[in-house]
Amino acid sequence: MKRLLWACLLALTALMARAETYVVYVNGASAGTASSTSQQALAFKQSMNRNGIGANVPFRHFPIVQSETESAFAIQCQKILSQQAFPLRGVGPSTSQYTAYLQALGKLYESPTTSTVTHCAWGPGVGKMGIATTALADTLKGYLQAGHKAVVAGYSQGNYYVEAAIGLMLSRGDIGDLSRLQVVNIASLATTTLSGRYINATLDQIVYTGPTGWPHSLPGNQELCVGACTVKASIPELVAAGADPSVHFVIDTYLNESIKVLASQQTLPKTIANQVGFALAELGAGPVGAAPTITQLDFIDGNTARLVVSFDANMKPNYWTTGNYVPRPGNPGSWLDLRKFVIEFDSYTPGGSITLVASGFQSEAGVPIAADRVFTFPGAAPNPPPPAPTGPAVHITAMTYVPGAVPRLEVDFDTDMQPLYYTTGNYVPLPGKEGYWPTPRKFVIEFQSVIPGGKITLNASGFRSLLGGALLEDKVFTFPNS
Amino acid sequence: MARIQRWALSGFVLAASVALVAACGGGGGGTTAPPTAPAANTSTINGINVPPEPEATGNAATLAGIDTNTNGVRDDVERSIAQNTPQTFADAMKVAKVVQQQVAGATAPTPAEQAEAFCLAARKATQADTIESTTLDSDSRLQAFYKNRQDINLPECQP
Repeated sequence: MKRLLWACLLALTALMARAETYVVYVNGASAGTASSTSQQALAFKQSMNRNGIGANVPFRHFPIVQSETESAFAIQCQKILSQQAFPLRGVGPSTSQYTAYLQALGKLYESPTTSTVTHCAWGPGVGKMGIATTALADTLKGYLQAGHKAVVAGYSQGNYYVEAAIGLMLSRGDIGDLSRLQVVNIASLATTTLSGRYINATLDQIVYTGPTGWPHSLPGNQELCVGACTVKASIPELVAAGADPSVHFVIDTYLNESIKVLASQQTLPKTIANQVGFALAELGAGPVGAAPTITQLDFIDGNTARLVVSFDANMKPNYWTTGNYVPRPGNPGSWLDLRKFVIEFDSYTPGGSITLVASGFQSEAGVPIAADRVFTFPGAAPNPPPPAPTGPAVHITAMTYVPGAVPRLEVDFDTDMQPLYYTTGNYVPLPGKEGYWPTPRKFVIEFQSVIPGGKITLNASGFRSLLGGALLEDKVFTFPNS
Repeated sequence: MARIQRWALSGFVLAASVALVAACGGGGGGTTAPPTAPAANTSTINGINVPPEPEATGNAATLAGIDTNTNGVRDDVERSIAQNTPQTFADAMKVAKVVQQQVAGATAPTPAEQAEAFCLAARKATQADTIESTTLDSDSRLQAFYKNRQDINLPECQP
């Protein structure tokens, strides 16, 4: 009975705990490297935070305490197995090949004393790697059981453990797929990239040309550069920028802010952070980085007036604008490049405005600009500003949203009002029912459509009482999400 | 049991040594110099008093190993720290204590203790990898470490 109560309590606690998405760093070989495993983990977290992964994202470290030598037995078996499964380097295996390989790998760890893999000296030699792999699988399983998700970022030989742990989870039946786990491989020695996200420098000497050789690791996919970054860097140039001579160490090379990726011109740590950000977004972790900002707004008047908006970060190619304009048919908005958005107008209202709606402009990592940005078109305002209020302040006593085929918003006031109104927001009003007063104290607006989760603002200056009083401030109503 | 046997052996060696010194030092007049050798249960490495090297079999016989001064760190690990990182001995001992608690401690380290140890371990000078590999020197100790470790969110560490 007591045990049952405990079980219920634990289950309840798990349900009540906030579901989180962890970023789990799995370090490379310990001992003999330039930095401790904890140092690696902390540097990784700090670098990701600097490069757009918000401090609100919980980072964890799964410590691998083994040197490469201590892992050698098990890694050798894993290499043999992967070479048999994917004989052609660089040729992407099919999903079924992947699954078969991971299942076979998992089976190795399920039976630590026997192996059917040829030339694989399985058995007691598996020792510490088997223990660490099982512990990693158990840790990840624990996250999933508690309702959490995880992005697992393996570095160097840590990727072998990640690959093996996920193989074990698949073969044990802990998971049927990777829908709640994402993997980011960094300087990976492993054969597979479980989520298709890996960052291997082409000049990485440990992965590609080192004495131990890792012939079946994934092909290098990042040409690096330094300085002006017009051509790919040589090893001495990378070393001069702070990389270690093997172009492999996580802190010296992969998290080095002075080294860039030639193709994207972004720093190598930013490139890694992007992958982590994408993985988090894939798991629905929500915004994970710093908000992008608008660096410039250029309005070019003419036959085809247009507004060019520049951002300080690469953006998703989406947009959301509203305002007093008619967009040019066929080209209402487009992205000139990842950081420059342009919208062309057939016409606009002089003195009117266009609003760039925050949630419609998101960085690649899914973080929106901090707030709506309003640009006022040139020219005199179409209507003079309303006179200053002269009577006592007006109060709204109720706002009622009535959903349905023709949804509407009813607003009740505490005093008799003039039949005026001024509203803006994320909706299309029903023609002829844009705003009306069925009684002196009730205002109604009917909608053709509204954007779920969007807003409607009752602008204070647009609502006046018969005595000349105005609302104290704008009143905002948020439409329901569904 | 292993520890009791070891103490008995140490006691015998000490008594025999005292008897031998007394026997050889006899004769003549003058004063007898006070004993300067460290007591049998301590030795000094890089100016740091540490327990003597534990007997290997006894040390490996249990998860906890031998910790004669009961400071929460195994004697061989403590000696290794004094040898490798005398300048950061105190910090390294804190790291070692938390690792040892996770292997065989009666109580688990608190999240705050674990966070402090992580930040200390993230300093190169503490050589935390050596501490971990020395402490987790057998399959059973590694297994216990993974089983008992508390998985915490990485803290913000002061530089």
